[in-house]
Amino acid sequence: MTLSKPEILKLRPGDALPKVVRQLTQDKVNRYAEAVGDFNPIHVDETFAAHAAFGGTVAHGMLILAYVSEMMTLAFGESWFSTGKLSVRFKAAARSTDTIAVNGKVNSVETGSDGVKFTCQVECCSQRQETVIMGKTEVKVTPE
Amino acid sequence: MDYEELKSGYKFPTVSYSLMPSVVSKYKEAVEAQPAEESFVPPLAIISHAFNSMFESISLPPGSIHAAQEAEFLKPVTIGSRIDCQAQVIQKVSRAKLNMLVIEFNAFDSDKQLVLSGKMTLVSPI
Repeated sequence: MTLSKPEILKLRPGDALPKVVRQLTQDKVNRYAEAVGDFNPIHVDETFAAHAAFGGTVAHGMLILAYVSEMMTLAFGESWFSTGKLSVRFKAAARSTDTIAVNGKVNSVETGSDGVKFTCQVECCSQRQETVIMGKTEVKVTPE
Repeated sequence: MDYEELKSGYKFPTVSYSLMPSVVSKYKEAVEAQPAEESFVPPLAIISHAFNSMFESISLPPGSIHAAQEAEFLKPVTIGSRIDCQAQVIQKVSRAKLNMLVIEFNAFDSDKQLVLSGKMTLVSPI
């Protein structure tokens, strides 16, 4: 559920952002490939991928990153679309059967003349406790 | 174009595409977006479509991986908008058995306003 503006402005360092959990499937990976036109065989060809580095298909990094963006949208709404920033590293591949949990935490809150800037730490982990994506995000929210 | 020909300073041809309702709806369904901010395009959809268009003419070496991503969203993009994306290689280095390619990109709407900018890092085996 999206946070309301008063709820956003009450966020303080250490507060958790709404958690997003997604169960990957090969069908979902294929659907993403079709949506963005990226048919790299490492994502969609199970026979090819079985003999490649990961021993099976893996999800597109940008699909997993979309889950981070989803969490930021749930937390900050339209402000994410107009003032959002992200800087992340892809630390490991997400297998096409993984469950991905996206966690975020507010690191700092700074009030300026043009709004309140929230800096957050974000991380995507698989059910194997492997970090898939790690990084930080920023968003500025105007009080009115 | 061959990947080996990509050098620091190389400017990709400008990529233009329209984020029509059917395109955005397919993307939102694929990423399981919840119905928040329904009139706007998820910003990562803009980046994903730009990358795919950019790399249509360049075959990346097998085993290439997306290592890092930076992005700044400057203006919400409404569904149906046309986007022009400019991109340039800002760094290409070879280290050990890997090539690292850093690409900077800027996306503009039909009013020529910058809506999104960022950097992507790709790592490829040599």
